[in-house]
Amino acid sequence: MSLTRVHLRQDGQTLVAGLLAPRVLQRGPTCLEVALVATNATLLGGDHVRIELAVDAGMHLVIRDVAGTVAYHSRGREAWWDNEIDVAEGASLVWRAEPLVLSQGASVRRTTHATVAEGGRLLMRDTLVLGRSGETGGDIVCDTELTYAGRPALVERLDLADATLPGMLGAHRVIDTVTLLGARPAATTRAFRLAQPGAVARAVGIRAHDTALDATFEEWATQIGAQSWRG
Amino acid sequence: MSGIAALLLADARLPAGGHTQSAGLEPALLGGLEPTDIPGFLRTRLATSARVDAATAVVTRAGAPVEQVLDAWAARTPSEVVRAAAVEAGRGYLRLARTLGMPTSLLPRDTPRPIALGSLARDLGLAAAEVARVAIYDDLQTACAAALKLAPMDPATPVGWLLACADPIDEAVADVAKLTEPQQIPATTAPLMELWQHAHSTATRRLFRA
Amino acid sequence: MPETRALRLGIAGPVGTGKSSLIALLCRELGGTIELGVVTNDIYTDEDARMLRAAGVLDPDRIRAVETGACPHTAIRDDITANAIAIEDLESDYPATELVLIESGGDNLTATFSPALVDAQIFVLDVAGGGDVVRKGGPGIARADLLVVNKTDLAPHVGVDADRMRREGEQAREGRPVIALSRNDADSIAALTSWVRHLLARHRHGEHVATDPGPMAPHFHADGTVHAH
Repeated sequence: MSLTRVHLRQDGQTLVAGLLAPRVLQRGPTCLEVALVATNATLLGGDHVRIELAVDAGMHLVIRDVAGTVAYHSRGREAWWDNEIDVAEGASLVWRAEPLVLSQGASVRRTTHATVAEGGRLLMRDTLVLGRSGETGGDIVCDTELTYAGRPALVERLDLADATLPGMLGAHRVIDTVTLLGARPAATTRAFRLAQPGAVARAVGIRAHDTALDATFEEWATQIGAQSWRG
Repeated sequence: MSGIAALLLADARLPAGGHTQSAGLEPALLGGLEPTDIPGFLRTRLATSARVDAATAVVTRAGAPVEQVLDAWAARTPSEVVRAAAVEAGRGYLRLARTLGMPTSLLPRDTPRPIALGSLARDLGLAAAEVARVAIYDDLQTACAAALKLAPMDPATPVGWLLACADPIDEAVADVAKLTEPQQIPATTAPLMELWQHAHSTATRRLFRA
Repeated sequence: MPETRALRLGIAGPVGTGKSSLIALLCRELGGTIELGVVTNDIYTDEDARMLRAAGVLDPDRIRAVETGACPHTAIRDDITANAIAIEDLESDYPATELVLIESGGDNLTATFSPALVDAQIFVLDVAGGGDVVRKGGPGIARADLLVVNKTDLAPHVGVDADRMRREGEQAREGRPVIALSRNDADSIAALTSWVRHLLARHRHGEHVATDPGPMAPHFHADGTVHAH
């Protein structure tokens, strides 16, 4: 297993490099902006990537992916990817993730667990692309489990092994999701309003960058005050 | 009691407002689902939302705390439009329970259909597998019945679709009937179906509530 | 707070006979003195409810729509669940409500409300539907609490004798009331509102008993009794 860890504390941060290496881009009194840089040709069959992101109370962490990730043909071995996220009271985490492209023959199991304490905020992007151009794309099962203030906020299994089943993705090859936890967005934004404070904006599309969720992500980032954290 | 109770709960003639529902079929057809894909759509529901709801009913029937079941179900039903429609459908069961003096009538007014159904099943002494089967059957049969209104065909045809799902329904029933805890409820989603259902609240010429 | 629960008055009748307009009229005429609520049963979505909300005759939140899954007959007759819930919600949100008007989804001549859903019902025909509609009969025409022959101002234009239609209605109804209504005829409007106010008073005093017009004509049973189911 390859562990990448970013833990932002009031008195500093812990950075652990794995297949993805954290690089500090910017630092402020209560904020940290980190890029995750691929150190190898991710993601191959048998790889097990684990990313741990933790933000202590009152701190703000912004994560950027430098590039999208390509999951290559698994050659019969699954690749695993686990995200473990912990956002404390009054803390924020914004993860500007780039697309995960599933090549023909790729087989990926991904889990995302996030625990957000009351008053904490989490904003993240998840773009899955089935296949590089001309391919039908690989398989992925994504298990997402997010809790807010100790209560389940979003629990979802997205199993794209049979993506063409009616009602799954149809002819679309891209599924793009922006998830916000700890704040309720403006009524005008097209999104699912979760029962707990939070929302999910989702779109399906043909190409990676035509789903129009960039604007939603920026709007929600502004709403939780991400602009004010710098410097 | 459960001998006829399971049949009653699965019967479209049960006065619980079932005729206002299409189990996501009308939103799907408005969203672009081809009528020829309705059998596949049933498979998708069976693998996703129908299974989530059936498991929710089973866990409710098993006696799990309703607030926890509600949290678990709501976390697996992200669209507020879908949740609101489920609450309206649940009201039909609560009203039935009230008229008949059953404990389910004490549930809060915003209890969604799967929890109301699970609770009613508990009142009526249904076994876990029975309530699971009723929940799944009702969901798929609701879509089949709505299909006759929305894309008319020989009414025997949807019966064939449903029968073709018999084995996978049995498998789903076996999967969910053993569950007892809210966190065990499956969470498999069908993204397009969910988006279609979410858009239904603003559809202008719809026949069905959901 | 009214001492009794709100009077539930159903408005049934074929498509296009003016049920929504009749409700708008009642809201305008009675809204100032009676606490009203409206439940519509729409063919599509909530279009009748939207039309009424747009008419501005009543607080939009007091107008609720029931979507019937293309079963307007079922929704007012056999499985009244969705309508009953809509009415109960209205009454619970506005406890002072005195009169709830329930508009059926436009259906054919056989659709009538269940007495479990409404205390009384008005059946609406219009002159444009043809002078012989009354003679064709049906449970609503024969036995609704009130028959309204609507749009009498159009009668000359469609070659119908509105008076004759009203008379034939009275004959078919064995003395039950008929009102020939035109929105341009103040007397006919007064007759309608007076009928509703009178019904409301009887309801409050417990003198009104809901009766079922039935889906069928009255018929004889072997024991000699006459039934109007």
